[in-house]
Amino acid sequence: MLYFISTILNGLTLGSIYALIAVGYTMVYGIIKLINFAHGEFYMFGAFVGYYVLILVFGGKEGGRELGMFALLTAALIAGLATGILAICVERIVYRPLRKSGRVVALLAALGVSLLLQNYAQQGVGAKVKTFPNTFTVQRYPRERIEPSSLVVGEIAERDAAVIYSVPKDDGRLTQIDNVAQSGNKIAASDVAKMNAILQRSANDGSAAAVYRFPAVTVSNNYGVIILALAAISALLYGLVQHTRFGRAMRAVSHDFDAAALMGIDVNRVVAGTFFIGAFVAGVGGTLGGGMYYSKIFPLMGVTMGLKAFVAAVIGGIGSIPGAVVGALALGIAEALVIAYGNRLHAGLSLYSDAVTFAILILMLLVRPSGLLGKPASDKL
Amino acid sequence: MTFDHAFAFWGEHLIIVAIWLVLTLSLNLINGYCGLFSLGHQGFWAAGAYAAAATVKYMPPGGEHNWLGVFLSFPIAIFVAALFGLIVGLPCLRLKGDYLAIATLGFSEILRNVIQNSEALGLSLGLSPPNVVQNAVGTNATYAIYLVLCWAAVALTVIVLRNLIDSSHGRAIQAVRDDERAAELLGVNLTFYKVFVFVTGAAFAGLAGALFANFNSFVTIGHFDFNQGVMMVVMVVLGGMGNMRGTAAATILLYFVGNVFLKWLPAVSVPVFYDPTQGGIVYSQIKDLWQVLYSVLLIVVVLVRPQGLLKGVDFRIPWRKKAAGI
Repeated sequence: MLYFISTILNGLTLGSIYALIAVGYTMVYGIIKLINFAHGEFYMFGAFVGYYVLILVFGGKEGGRELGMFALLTAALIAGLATGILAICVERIVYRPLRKSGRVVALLAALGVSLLLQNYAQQGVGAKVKTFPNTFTVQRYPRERIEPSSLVVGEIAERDAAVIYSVPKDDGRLTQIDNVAQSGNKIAASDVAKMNAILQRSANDGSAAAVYRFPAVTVSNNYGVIILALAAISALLYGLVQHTRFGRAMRAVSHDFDAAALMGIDVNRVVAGTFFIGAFVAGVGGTLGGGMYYSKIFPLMGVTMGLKAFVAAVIGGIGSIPGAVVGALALGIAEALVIAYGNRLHAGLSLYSDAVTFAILILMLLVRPSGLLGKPASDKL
Repeated sequence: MTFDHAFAFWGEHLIIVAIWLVLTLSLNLINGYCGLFSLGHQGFWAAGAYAAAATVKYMPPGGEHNWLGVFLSFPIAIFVAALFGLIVGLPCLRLKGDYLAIATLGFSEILRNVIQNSEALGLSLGLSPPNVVQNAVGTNATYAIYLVLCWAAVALTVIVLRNLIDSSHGRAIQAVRDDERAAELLGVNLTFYKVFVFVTGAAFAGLAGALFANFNSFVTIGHFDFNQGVMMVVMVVLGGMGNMRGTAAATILLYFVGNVFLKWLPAVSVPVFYDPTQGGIVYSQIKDLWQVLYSVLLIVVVLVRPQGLLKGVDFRIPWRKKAAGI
């Protein structure tokens, strides 16, 4: 039961990161019917802005001291603003001149922007994976303290069990100092020796290290940050779209672009604003999801996330903001379930979560192209 | 550079560019002539290449001189890729434009995920079938044989596709692109032609895959990633969709600029970024900036000439123009 609950929480977190990207996809598609392939790169851009803010403004270092929640949230906010400005520039320079061209032409331009951002990032910040600065100590549950002597050498670490050496601080928070015998690897005699050496050393200097065992699926406190961020952003977006003049203009433009223009709505401003909001959310998602949660950032990090988020937007009904959130959460939970339970059905099935994602996409496109919450397409002719 | 080195250098590039020509010309049938915007051609290529590599490696006699495997790898690769074309083509019938692009991309991602996790296909390490031709005749002769073989494949692709496009079937295929509804009203069987185009295009991608797997005697999933698919689409689009000469010209141009000419550029570094964590200004070699340049080129071409860089350029040989009375 605990395993199931942690799987669902895991999925909700993953889904929340997808949702932060999918919202922008769906808003842009709703307004100008463009699949903005560069949206995944906005997520990447946001993660890098967050990284540089934490390092340059808050003095963080890769693997350095914890910077705290305030620093993380400030970095996320600045990343969102910077990404939003980037999106406005991209829209103004590339997408606006193409608004009257065919959809496929615009799609190609979007591919071009996506490639440009990826390739430029590879030249500028380098293709190497960077570790996001620490912002707060990640605690994983459930966990179980074990003695190294209870491990059997040669046995495969049971149920993807990972054994991690940790130093409990005074307040009971654990900090990882080393990590061996991961995910179904064989426990080697050298592993046990290494553990004993570290325990011996910590007993001598009084730092009190201990060995803990974690199951394959765990819940951590950083899940809460992501899920709360999504909840806050969703609420803000709902208020913006439903209860402000700008939101009404957005809905009007999404409903009928030309009629909205004829009614005196400044469509260029609305489109630019939509790009800004979508990219802002993706930038925040980049810092919190790609940076804080995954803690590994690299120029191509937006490719898979962007594709999956797009799948989420299609599942939810592209053009619908609540649909994007629902679709993303559903996709996140589905992936987490495949990863957690796949191996129980058939050995190795857990590895196919990507295939499952895209199979869901294709099924959805065939059975209900308008998505879970989308309106059925009206242009049958 | 000795003769052997020069021969190997140019031979390899001429072989790979021929494989790319087969790929882009067949993608041009799907994207250009039939207007089905596919982003999944790298998946068909991968299917053919893995099928061929597995055939050479596992076909019964086995070993370093598995000629039977080499001969059978071509029909098997073409068949497997065409089968994937059928599998992708059938469900995609109901999709159009960007939705179709995403669905084909989805299929190639599924294929990638499955190959990567398949023990028999070498997981993400890939497959290394024996290089049967090289084991029998040595390096130089191998290059010569594959040069002939690959350019014969290009000729075959051109002849088959040219005749197809000029036939009544080709007219039907182009009618589907120009106006699906009107074509259907005039009696064009949409289902048949869409599936037919996918299967034919995929079969040629399978041929390219078999050539690649046999020549390279190593395939890994990295050879067939999404960026390769985007590169193919860019070549077709720059050539002006539905323009075989343009596609061929764009393929040759982009291939040689990206893989050969840029490597000859002098070592000049230009500042690209300011990053205090990397110690100030970041420099890049100009030859490393090709990827950036070509994305900019793609954006500029789409903005300035959405119909394609080479669309409308008359590629006909002068004396043939005269013969046609122009």
